Amino acid sequence: MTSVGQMLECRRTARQLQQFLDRDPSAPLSTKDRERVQAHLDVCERCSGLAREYEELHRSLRQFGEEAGPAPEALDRVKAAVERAIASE
Amino acid sequence: MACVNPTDSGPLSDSARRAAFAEYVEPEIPVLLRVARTLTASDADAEDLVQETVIRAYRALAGFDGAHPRAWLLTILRHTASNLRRRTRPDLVDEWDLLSDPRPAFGAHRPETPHEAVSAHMLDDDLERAIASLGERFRSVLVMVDVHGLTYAECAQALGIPVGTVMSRLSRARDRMRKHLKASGRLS
Repeated sequence: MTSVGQMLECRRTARQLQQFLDRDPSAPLSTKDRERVQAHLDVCERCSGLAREYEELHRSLRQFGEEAGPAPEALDRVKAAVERAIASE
Repeated sequence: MACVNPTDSGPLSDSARRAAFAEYVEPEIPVLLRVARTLTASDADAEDLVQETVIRAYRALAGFDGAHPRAWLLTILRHTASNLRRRTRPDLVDEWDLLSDPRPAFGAHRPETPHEAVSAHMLDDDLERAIASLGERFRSVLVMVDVHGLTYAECAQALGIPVGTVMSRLSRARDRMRKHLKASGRLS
């Protein structure tokens, strides 16, 4: 059963869900908002499912990022070129 | 946090400059390469861009206050990329988004696929298709934050856009990715 109040809470949670999951220092949620989102996720199957999907997406992309760092040779080339430039100044 | 140049006046000694370089700049070179790769869509261009960026940072160390070295370097990276583009395309207006439409010589390689835009590694087919479905503005934010782990603020510095714009683009990019991957059965 879905009340109007629950629907509004779902919409409000959806707006803050990514901030809640990211915990990015540039845009932190207030403690009050974090608690409210967490409380809603605890009781709302639909929103907690959405949160799980975002978390799975995030894990997939981050895993790829860990495998896709710059090649060691690229790092070596950059450092060598910079060293040469600095030494000539 | 120690200041690079506490007096903020006069040149740094060579030894002080090298120490500051080792402390603030060198550890960030891998991140700079990742971001440059996203912006230029070419390994060679990315290396050129980072070399130029790091040399400029070395020269500018005397004026750096020691706070937020990554943000400082990402700003230099963005300005350097813009300058390099103007050097090879003097008709180019100073609009960062146009960096996503590179032309010879710097930026000669277009990001033909998301695979190229991220790295030369094999990318999961479903993920590749989902990223390919995004426009450049959304793709660059998604790759910087979710693939390379930049914060919203660092991504904003690298692209020269407000943090709020990063957040809105990221939200839309993720939502599209989620729907795409769900439709393909990748997300349960």
